[in-house]
Amino acid sequence: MPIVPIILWTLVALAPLATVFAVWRIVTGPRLISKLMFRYLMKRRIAWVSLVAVILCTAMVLIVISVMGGWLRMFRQTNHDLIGDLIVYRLGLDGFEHYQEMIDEIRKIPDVKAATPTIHSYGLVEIGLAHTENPIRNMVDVVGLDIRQIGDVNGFVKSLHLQKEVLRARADALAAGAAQTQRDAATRISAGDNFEPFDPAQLAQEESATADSLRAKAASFPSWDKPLPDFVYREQFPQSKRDPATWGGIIVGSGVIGLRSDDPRESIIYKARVKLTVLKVNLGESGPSLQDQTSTDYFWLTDDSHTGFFQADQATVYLPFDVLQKELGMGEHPYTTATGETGTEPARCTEILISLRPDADSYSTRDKVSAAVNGVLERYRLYYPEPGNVRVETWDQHQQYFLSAVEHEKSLLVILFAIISVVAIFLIFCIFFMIVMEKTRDIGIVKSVGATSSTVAAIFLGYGLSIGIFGGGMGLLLAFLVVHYINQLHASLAYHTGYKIWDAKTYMFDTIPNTMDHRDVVVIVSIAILSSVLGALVPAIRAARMNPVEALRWE
Amino acid sequence: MAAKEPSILVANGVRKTFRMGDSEIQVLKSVNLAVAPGEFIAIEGRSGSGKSTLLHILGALDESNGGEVMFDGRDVAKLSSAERAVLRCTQFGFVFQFYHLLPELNVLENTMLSSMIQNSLAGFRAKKRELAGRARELLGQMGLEHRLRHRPAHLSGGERQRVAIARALMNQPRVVFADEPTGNLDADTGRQIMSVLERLHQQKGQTIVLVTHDRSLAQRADRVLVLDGGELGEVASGEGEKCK
Repeated sequence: MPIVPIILWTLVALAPLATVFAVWRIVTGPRLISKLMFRYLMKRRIAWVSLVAVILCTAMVLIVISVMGGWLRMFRQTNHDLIGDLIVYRLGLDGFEHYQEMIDEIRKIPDVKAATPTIHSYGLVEIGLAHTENPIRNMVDVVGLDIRQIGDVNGFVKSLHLQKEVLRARADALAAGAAQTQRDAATRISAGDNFEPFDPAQLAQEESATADSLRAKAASFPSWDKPLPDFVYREQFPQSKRDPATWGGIIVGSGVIGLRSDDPRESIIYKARVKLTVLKVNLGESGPSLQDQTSTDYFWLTDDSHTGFFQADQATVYLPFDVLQKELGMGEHPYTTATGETGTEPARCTEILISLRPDADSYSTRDKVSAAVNGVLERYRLYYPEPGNVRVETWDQHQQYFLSAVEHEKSLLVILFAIISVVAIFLIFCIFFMIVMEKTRDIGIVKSVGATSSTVAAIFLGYGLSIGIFGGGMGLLLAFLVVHYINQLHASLAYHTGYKIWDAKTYMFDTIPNTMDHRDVVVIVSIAILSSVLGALVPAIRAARMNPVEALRWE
Repeated sequence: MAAKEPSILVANGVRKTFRMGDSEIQVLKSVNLAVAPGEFIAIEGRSGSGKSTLLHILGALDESNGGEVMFDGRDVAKLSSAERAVLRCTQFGFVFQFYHLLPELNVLENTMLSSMIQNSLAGFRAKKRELAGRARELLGQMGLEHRLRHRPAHLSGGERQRVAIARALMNQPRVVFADEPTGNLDADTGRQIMSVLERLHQQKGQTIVLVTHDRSLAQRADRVLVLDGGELGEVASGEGEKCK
């Protein structure tokens, strides 16, 4: 066995043993141990260098692990929230058919909680208010989903800005405003005031109607419905060829319209028009293919979604499943071949998202879902050759490409900081060696007064332990403060220097993770303490082995 | 003190050799000594004659290369390192030429050093009042009751040495070893320190082994021994003064 691993493993084994020994001797051994180790800690300023090294190393590793670990957790959580537990999909934009039969079979599996079809495509949007001269034009992912079912499968509904409570609060505020308007009107009529050109009764009625609509929307949440009365929509785009009151609702990613989560929405929601153009899928004789035929339609912006996942929020719009299916030409479709043969092309989707019951094993259920999907494909004699076959994956398998990259990056950073920590251990070793040299005469004194070698060793190990405990504790505090306020610190740094370390485009989230995992904290602070004891170990052994007479004569 | 009383500390044929490169220097050739309880003996010799080495061997601080040192009938060489440490803590007290106080501890804490070694964290806390009382009493006897919270760096040489004596007496040792206790002090202060040792011996019957190169100081002991050529010779006492 090579010598280096032997030395490393010996040190790894020695550190906890030395720590236990130090604690045991401090508690049960002579009072002198705790007295001298704390006195040295407070009085020997050179030891503060080791203390600072431990503080900085602990804080550095904790901050990096918290941010990277938090990033990985956020990445996993957000992807899980966007997908669900399992996904059935096929590469490409034309999707697969007989999805409803597949869903029926999938729902028969006991571990499956819910399943819903979705469609993924791409399109161009133009978003603007009635008076906007320069509307937002962007290329976007277009997702079609059943908003009634999607909440049972993933966390999309949680990302919507107009949560039920928000709608209710706005309805209550409007109703209170309507009542106040009526009271004011009554007061002013009795005073003989002229209301021209406004009719207060009509205003109060409109406010009250809007409040009722919002309440209805809250009661039916989530839905695509527009909550306001038709006249509100017609007034905004009176020149439109198609009646604006008949336009459907569309949800956009918050980044598409440049909104942060705390920005007001009143000027945009139910007021912005979204013009969406998608490329249709041609369901021809030789199977589906993309053709240069586009479909354009108008929608009212009814809500925005903030998942926290930069790419999704920045360039995704969401439509009702059946609406997008129709826009893309993926609905059930009659056809006639060149030979005059007629038939009906079944409706298609690009994905089926599945959620499982809490105690279900995702991998074994995935196999059952796969069997159900293959059964439907065989029933209809459908064969999609590789790589375009229909696949069933768990959500983490589906995102493995990104997840493994993030995990590798985290591991790499941990290794880099572990190397820095080894440098810190060596620094502690050097400083303690210097302290032992400097304190040689003290060692002779305490030995001449009756201290045993074990007591002397415990003084220096306890000294290292106290540096580890104080350094680890203060490093934890520093790391907590930095991690807790990391977004504010980052914003301040960017404001003063113009330099942004965290680029949402690179890291996929617009905020830096700011929570600490208690397991990481326990492990890293423990390593800081053990490392400090390890750094003090060799100097402590040297001190313990000193001959008292030689130590007393030391100059 | 009567020389024929049962000895508390006995050295028989003690030898000590130091290796200096390839050569060996025999500092102690065959030292024989018997110290009776309550006796005050002085070991006199030139610088480098091996007085301190002998004191360290007698005080279980160092080991000899031959012969035996018996304390209370037990061979010190046969004790383990930990047992010798206990002996130094509970039975012996040391006063050194350079005081050897811990700079991080104050006068009171330095005095209680051996008690802090003898007692555990909990034990010391339980007896702290009693131990601090004894330390204060000893420091009071040394005239240092107003210096309890001062650190050694803020004391004069004589004060430091008195703290060292108080520390040596803290655990009520059976033998106090004093290694050139006045060697780093001026003549007046040295006399004061010697007076403290004499008073201890006379009033409390403290057994003291003093090492000095100063004949006038040595003559204040009950018995004077001269270390010369690695061997110890006794000096007969005369009227009014002692001479070889």
